[in-house]
Amino acid sequence: MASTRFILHPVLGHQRSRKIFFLYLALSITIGLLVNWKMDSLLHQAGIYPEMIRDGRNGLASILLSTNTRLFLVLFSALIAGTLTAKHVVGPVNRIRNWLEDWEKGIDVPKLAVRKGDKFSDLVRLLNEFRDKIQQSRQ
Amino acid sequence: MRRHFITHPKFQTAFTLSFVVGALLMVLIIGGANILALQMLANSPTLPMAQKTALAQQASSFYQLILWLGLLTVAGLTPFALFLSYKFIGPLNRLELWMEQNLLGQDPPFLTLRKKDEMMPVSAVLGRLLHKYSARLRRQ
Repeated sequence: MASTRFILHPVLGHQRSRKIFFLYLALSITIGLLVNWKMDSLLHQAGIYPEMIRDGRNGLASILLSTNTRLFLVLFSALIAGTLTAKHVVGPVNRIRNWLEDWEKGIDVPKLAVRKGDKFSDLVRLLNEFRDKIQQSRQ
Repeated sequence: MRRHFITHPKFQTAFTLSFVVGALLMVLIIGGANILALQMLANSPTLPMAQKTALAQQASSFYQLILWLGLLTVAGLTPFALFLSYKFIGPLNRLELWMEQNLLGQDPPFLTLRKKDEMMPVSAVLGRLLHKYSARLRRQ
């Protein structure tokens, strides 16, 4: 699945996107701490204590305010943000690099294709031109 | 010193947008979950009326915090994202130009990029390939 590929490969497998992910993680931890601190102080001011809401009688609210959910949301939001950015940055460059490395190894590479309007379309056009010239010279 | 930070407007806009939208999503996901919990508690049948009223009265300060966090995220991260996008895409122009010169058989000097440049591994492999096939390119 394309989305799984983005999470498992570029976000955590590439140095640049890993850095961006950790940056997002630091940001989401800060946001999470601020928001949860404000929420807890608001509940405290209203005289609502954790044991009153975490006893399961408040259904979804109990789940949303549990420590596990809060931690999950912090991690999940950083991962979503990291994936969004990696999709723009790391994916196309990795693809171009792999294509070049395959060619260097002597593998007969097909034409490199990019989506219409891709920011690397000029470079890809030049690379394909280079490949065509070399193939023509072989013949 | 490089002065132009916007060299590929289309890419840089898309990158900056995705970076800022990603950060905004974090505020929305974390803040939204808490707002939902707050709303549910304010309407919960298990809590006394006095507590529900107090919660509803103080909720506006919480919404303000979420709003400020969102605004600060956009204002603080936009220039940073633009800078990051430049760091990433800056060498692409040079790489394209260098590639064009090679294809025209002009034999330009080897392209040197900074170690931290994102396009560095691409240019290194490409340099080796061009060196390998330079004679064939010149013949054409």
